[in-house]
Amino acid sequence: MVVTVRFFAMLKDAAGADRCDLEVPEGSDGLEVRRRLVSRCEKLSNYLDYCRVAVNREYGSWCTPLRHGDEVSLIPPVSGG
Amino acid sequence: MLRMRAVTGDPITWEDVAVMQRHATRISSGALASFIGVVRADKRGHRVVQALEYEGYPDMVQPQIDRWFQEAHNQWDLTTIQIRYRLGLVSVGEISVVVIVAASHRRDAFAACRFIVERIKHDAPIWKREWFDDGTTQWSQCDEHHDPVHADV
Repeated sequence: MVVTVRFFAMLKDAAGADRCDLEVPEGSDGLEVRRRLVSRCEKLSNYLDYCRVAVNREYGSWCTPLRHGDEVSLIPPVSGG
Repeated sequence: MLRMRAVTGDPITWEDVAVMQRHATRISSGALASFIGVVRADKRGHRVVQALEYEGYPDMVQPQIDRWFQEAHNQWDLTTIQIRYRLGLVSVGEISVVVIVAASHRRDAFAACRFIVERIKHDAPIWKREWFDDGTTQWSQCDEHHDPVHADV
């Protein structure tokens, strides 16, 4: 199955893109996405420990089960205001 | 309950704030609490902030704001809430965010206004990049200390 990963702020800089489509096995969760991202782009590993995860625009966790077509947003520490 | 698109790429003027305050006021409103966030010229060593570049995820922010409005209305006796949040490059002295809460009484207005502002600060997927007077930039660290989010790996 394929999920879309969204990058913001410093993660976008590290990834060199604001999104990517990632093929993962059926039944994968955020942890599998994380493993595959780090193997593709080692620089991301500096930030992922501090990120929250949102699935389809709702905060979830790295263990949230994913389905084909889901959007996984990596949310670095926010600094609005 | 008033719903509006809260996130904007357009400048927020002091005239806009006055219009929002006027629109938030109802005949049952005895108190109007306003929070106005303005970009300040912070110093980082020898560098001085000239502007903040706000990046956000509006498709996620808007439903959050709708939910916070509902929570605030459930918790306090409010008449209206209005929020405007500016994304993009905002110069020192310009307005980045406005939160206006109207209520019958001041305690509810103050409490709900603070609640909304704190939710924005802690949960809204919005980030800021500092632009300095020497031409350098850096992503701003948030005010509170952040522990790693354990991923159970």
